[in-house]
Amino acid sequence: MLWEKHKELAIALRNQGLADCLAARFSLRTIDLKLFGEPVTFAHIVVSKSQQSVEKLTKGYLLWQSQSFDPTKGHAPFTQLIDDQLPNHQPALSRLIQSLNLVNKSMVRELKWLESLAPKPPMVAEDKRGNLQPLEIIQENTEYPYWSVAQKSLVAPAQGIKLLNHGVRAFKALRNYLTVLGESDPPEYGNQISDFLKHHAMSTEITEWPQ
Amino acid sequence: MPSQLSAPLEERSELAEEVRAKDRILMPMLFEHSQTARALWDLAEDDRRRDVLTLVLTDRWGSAACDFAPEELSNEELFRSRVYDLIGEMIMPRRTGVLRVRVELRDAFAPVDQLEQLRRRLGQIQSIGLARLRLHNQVRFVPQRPNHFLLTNFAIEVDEQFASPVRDAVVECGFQVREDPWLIQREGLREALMQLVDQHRRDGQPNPDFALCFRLQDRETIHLLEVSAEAPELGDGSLSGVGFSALGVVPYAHSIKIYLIHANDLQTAFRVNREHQLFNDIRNDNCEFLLPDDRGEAFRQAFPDLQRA
Repeated sequence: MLWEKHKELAIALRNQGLADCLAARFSLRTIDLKLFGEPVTFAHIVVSKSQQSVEKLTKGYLLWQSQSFDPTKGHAPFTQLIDDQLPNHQPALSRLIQSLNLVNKSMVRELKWLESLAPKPPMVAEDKRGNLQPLEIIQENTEYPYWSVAQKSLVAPAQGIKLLNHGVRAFKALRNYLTVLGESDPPEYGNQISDFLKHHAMSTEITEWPQ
Repeated sequence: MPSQLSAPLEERSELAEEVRAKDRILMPMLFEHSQTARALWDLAEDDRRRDVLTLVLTDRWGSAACDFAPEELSNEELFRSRVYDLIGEMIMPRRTGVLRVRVELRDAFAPVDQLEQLRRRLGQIQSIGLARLRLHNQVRFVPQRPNHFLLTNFAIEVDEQFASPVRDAVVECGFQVREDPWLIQREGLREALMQLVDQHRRDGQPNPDFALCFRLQDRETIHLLEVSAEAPELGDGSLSGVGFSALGVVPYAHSIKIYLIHANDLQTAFRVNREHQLFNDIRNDNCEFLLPDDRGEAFRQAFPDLQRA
């Protein structure tokens, strides 16, 4: 499949990714809300929006370079080289990953951690799908109740995903990635990311509210 | 006008026909660059008695020639690429040993007439037509100062022997020549880059076969090219840098941009994007070679084509 005006689509993806980044930053704050007596945070929003931001920015980056890249497929480009894409897109992402590793080896690791929190169905072997499944197989994620190993119980992400443990870490991973893309080629794609970072407060100080 | 064929080539009617058929590609390409150009084909044999076709292009600016194996004519893309090289050489002949120099100006607000004065003054330099003068500039109109232009990163590139009169012209016209050192000239920076490249060799990253810096005049960003057989091969001729903060990695620089590329992709990038700053800098010996630390000797041997205009 070839996309017409693929660069326009890439820019639109980038811009939506930046909007997701703003949503993540706006959610990175302490709140005093309770759900049936239990405190909740917006940390799960920070993590999910950070992950979605990285996904859109990466897809935009790849789409800018090739109009045969299909951004509608896959959600975790750094973890899986996006199934169903043409093989020629894998080297482009491999080169990006290798380049990121050249200066900051933790960056790709953190992006993969971020992707690991995207919701996904539990892995169950085909021959065992008819059996009753234990709740423990539902992995930690930002959208659906999951099994918390620490609490040994099922938790909702609004209660289990923590602001300092997860939110700050996720937002830092996103911010570092944005900084790299903002300094990278092609300038038509990256320069406005750099401008975005100059104009929006991106601190991870959770008591500061960005204006 | 069709290309001309030498007598020996005319005698080989089948080959001559094949060569004539190439006029469909050759002549439009040639006339796009020079209305007065002519093309001559000749036929000879190499030392193993194989046919060698020689194409000579001439116009009033110069001439250039290159050899083709007959089978090379059947690959249209390759043929086009070779002809482009040849036209480039005809228009701007290779001048081994002639280095290019950038005379850089300090950023400034300049009245409109001052800029015009500089243009006129440059035109008065003796034999300036031979200097291959090229302006690199960002001249912006600033609405708040309607009678001025804002000059940023303004530089005049000329053959080395014209650098001094160009500098004089710049100063005479009231501009200041930028004299602050390039990043690579600053103390400890080269060593830090060598360490960075060495670290890549040691810690499981794609092992660089060559590492060099280009765009040396950039006072904020280090542009580091790493050529590695372990880099993925894209085949698209792209030459993209990935940028990082230089804080804690190399001193003085604001950021560092790494261009990781496979050797084959570097050749492809040269074919499709030879005006990229990297290739200009390689041609003009305006790079800093880090690996191997041999002033670029091994790199030039490995990539002889990249020095061609």
